[in-house]
Amino acid sequence: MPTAMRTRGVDHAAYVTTRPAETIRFYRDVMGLRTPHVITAKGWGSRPHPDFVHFFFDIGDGDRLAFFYYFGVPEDPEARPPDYHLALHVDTEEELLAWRGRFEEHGVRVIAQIIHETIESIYARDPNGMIIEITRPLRDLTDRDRRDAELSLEALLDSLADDVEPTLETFWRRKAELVAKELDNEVAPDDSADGHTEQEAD
Amino acid sequence: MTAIYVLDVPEFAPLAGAAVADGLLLTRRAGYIRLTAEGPITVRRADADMVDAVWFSALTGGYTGVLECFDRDRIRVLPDGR
Repeated sequence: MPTAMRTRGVDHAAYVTTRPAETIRFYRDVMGLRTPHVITAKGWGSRPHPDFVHFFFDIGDGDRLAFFYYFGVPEDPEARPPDYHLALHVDTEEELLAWRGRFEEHGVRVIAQIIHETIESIYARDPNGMIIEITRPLRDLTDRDRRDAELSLEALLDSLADDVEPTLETFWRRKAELVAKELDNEVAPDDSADGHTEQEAD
Repeated sequence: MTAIYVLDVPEFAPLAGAAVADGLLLTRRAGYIRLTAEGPITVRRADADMVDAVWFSALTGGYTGVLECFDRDRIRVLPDGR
């Protein structure tokens, strides 16, 4: 795994909109995001949409959310809302609730507010149907979380490579095998030194 | 034998406290809590007090055995009989 080469955050995430006016009003006027950059191009887009405006919104820390509007491409009434979503970070519960209030003041429905494992989030849809999540951390992620995540990906790859049709159950059973190795590989620490326990539970 | 592995972090640790089995053995090491028993291990959500997102992810650490039940209220892992 390469370690020397790194990226640093999101420069921009770009999506296509067929509802540019509503999109501008949502991000600029409802959310109050600034517009650091707009690009226009004539004849450079793929057919059938050679002419476009590419506009950006500042989502903080130098990261940007961008949209392409292609002139002459109508909205597809059959289009399903996107399955993907974008989550924007805030630091505190107060900020999260302030965003909830901001959406509601502008008549934007907050679909849900959910406490996850390590984050709490609110969700709304932008004019393109894309879910915008705003989320705050409940705790810092640690090396323990990172190691567990590595084992989960390893378990998933193993499950996908297996002859048996992968299911969440095959994944979980493989994950157990990998975690068992972690326990077996760690030298049992001195019980009195760091609280290692091996005991009958209540 | 049955086993449930729980990442030893604040949101998942209540799972270990709520697990019930005859002769349940708890090992806390390497960032995980391992719960093992010869027979079934049962966890009732009412005893674990977990929000949806954590409860439905409760087996992310993995299990050994056969998952007989995992619904909104209860998790039960049985020996696989092999």
